Amino acid sequence: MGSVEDVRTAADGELMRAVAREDEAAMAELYRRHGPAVYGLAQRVIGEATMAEEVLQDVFVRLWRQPERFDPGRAELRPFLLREARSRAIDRVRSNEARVRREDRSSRSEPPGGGDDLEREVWAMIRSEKVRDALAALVPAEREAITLAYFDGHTYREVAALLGEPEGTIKSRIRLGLRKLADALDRAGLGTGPS
Amino acid sequence: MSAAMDPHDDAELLGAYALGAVDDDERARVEDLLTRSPEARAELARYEAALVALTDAEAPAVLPAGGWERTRAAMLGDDDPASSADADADGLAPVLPLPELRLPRRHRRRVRRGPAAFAAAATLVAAGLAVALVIPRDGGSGGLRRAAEAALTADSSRTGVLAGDTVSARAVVDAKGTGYVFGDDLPKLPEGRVYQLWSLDGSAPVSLGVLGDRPGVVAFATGGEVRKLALSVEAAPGVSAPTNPVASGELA
Repeated sequence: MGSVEDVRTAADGELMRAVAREDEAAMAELYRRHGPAVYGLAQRVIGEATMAEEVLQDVFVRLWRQPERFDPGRAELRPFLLREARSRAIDRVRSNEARVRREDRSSRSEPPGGGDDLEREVWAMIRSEKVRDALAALVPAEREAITLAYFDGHTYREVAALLGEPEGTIKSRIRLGLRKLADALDRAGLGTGPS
Repeated sequence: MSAAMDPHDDAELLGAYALGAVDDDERARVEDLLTRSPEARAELARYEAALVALTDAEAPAVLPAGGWERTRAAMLGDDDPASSADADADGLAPVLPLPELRLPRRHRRRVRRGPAAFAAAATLVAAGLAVALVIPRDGGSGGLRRAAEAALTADSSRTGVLAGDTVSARAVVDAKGTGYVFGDDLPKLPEGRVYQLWSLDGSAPVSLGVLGDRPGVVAFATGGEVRKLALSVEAAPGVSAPTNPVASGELA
């Protein structure tokens, strides 16, 4: 079992099999491919670059040491890594130091996901009008619930308490919002279904 | 209590589960549902893909400079991150060491003597931003301009025009991956603003360099194949994600 011939064109699953054989080049490619998203999400959740890099490093070191934790038959790699990143970022946010930094950030900037800045941020994803259209398919209440849960690290129960809404309403709103987002991306031909 | 065990209720949790916004008990229930229900697995996969797109759109990032080396060192239990075998894995354009550009020796000396440029570059590196080598529009020795013009006429190069409503600049990347932007016609920016060059080929923009407020011919390292480029105008010393794009184009 040699190394992957062309890591740049290999599928994630193939690279993960190589990582299980301790192939550093495959790992470097996975880092190059998925690191920005992992780091971006960690930064968004934590609001601070140093700890976000710690999360980035943790996620990839763990992937290297325990590749069997990812089951390519059950999931795509990117969502798996983002879930890991979010979880570890939330752990840090919940430490006192992180909370202080985050509150300081909040006092200096608008709440995430709150308004017209979304268009600029969407441009940051290769100016994809298709994704912008998909996000626009969400009503503000759905986007707010998803943003509070995903980027701000709240459970749906906490989101319900924050917004003064019944838990069942928030649970449904999150599901409906994600369904609409996925539908809109499908219609835009971005292929959100499992491959 | 019994309602909490309703499979429909568990399915209703799929969205919150995808977001990681459920408690441990709910997570276990949803994961049990996922083992039994292909429909639930398919629904979750769609939500996860949507979240990937949302993350890319809402939280774009440039990898921290040297991040791969530090990660690799941690992976291998190696205390010397400088021993990395693949520094390009960051996906970042490295700060261009002048010898890689094979500049005429006299030009290297000229650029190295500029303490202000060095200080600015150090600031940018500390901020995790790639730095392009910028040659002023009066051209210095002209060595880099000649190299850029040679790249422009080489059959193996890929060229394009970055165009916007009010600005445009020609760009070329040669066969070795060294790129050049001809920014002579870009208007001078007000103090505190800089042009920044981006690759748009990945899931998020990658900074290829901060070009200054009045770039002439600019060289940059691509660290891999670059096809889509964009220019933005940002607050100095540059940003990790673009906020104000002014021109874009594709190389062909």
